[in-house]
Amino acid sequence: MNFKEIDTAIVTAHSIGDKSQLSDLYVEAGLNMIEIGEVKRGCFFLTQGYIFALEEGMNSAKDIYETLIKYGHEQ
Amino acid sequence: MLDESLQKVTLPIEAARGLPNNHYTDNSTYYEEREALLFANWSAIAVGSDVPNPGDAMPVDFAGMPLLVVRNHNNSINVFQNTCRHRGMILIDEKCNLRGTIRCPYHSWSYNIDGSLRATPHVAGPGNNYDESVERSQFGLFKMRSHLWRDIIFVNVSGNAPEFEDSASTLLKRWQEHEQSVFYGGEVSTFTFDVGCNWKLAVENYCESYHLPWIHPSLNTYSRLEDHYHIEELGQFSGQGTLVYQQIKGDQGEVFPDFSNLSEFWDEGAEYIALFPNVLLASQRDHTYAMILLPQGPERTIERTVIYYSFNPKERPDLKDLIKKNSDQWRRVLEEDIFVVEGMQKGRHGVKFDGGKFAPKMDGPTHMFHHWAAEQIQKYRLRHG
Repeated sequence: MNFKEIDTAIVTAHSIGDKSQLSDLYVEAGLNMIEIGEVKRGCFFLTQGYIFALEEGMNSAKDIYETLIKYGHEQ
Repeated sequence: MLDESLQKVTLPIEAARGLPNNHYTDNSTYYEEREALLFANWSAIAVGSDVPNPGDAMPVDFAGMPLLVVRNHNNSINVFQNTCRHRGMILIDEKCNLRGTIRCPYHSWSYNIDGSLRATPHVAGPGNNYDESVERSQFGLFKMRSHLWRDIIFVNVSGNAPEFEDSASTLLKRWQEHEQSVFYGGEVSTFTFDVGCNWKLAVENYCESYHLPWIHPSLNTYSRLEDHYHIEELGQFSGQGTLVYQQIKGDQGEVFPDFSNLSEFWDEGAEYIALFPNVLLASQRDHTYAMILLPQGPERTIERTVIYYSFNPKERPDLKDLIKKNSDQWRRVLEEDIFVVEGMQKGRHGVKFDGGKFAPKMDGPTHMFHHWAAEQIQKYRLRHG
């Protein structure tokens, strides 16, 4: 998905409260941003994804956390 | 030093008066009693069966204090203040099952199921989730002292009460034979009344048998007033017992299985005790119940009753109808008390009412509760000025 598509999907997922989908979408957005060198914005989205992953008890939380640590955005 | 009206409460019953009107109608007295009676002691707030599965969480409004009951993955139960440590937002507003962390719906600070603070998103700016001045280990949820007994969840908000086993030791000893597993009767076995009275009136009414012939006339044919006795334990609990308990029977004469190894006394004996401050209990050969009083202000109380059995109802579908019949019967009996407690509440707006003259031979258990309340208030005032 391009960023616009992700943005639309995020709004939809928020409206229906689909938190695991939200986590995946935010992580996708975050990794895309990092890939184009937008680390700060990427970590914002990763954080969003991380919080929803924690809330949903998703296994992906660990990987997101480690990515945030790698960029110095988590303790 | 007790004020004069409270001094009168602690006199011998022949000379005593009940608690004055303001203890039932006044907002500031209500909040003082909230601290002195409810928070300083072990109060009932919910039952373990409310959160049967690991991760289950239930918010409880306990006299205006937001609490959160959570069943952990190791099956133990924790009670937290249901308030985010950041901006004081309510964390959970309806019963749910937690799959992972408890996320504050405001800024998404996230807590582990054990209450520890796990994540503080964007706390140091967008995407920066760590700020050294926000030491996570210092900002976990406030955990209440809690204790589970007979599936009832008790909390001691002040944190200063003696251990539950010490506070309730006399009752635990008295009902030692009943210290055995109890099984929640299921949805059908719990009912709630929203009653227009101060919570103490529900205690006062429950612990005496004097009212039975008038309010529960159906008891007169088999459970006469003289078959009842007072239960009085100064500073801990009071209530009434009967010597002619009869088991409820189904259409085919079926009865509930008894609790194990009870002594002969319980064949026809049953006891109904108010464990101060706010839980009304029954012990009988074949089932028990707890009525938890959740104060909603000086003049409103939620009364929640939960019935328990000696057997797992899921394994005895043949007793399903009898369980329903039993629940309906208790609901009917306990409903009969509502007009009384609501009437006493209205009566306490009579400005010349002086707390009431006790009937010394019949009102001992009620006076015992008043006495306890007055002493607890005195203790609180001495401590807090």
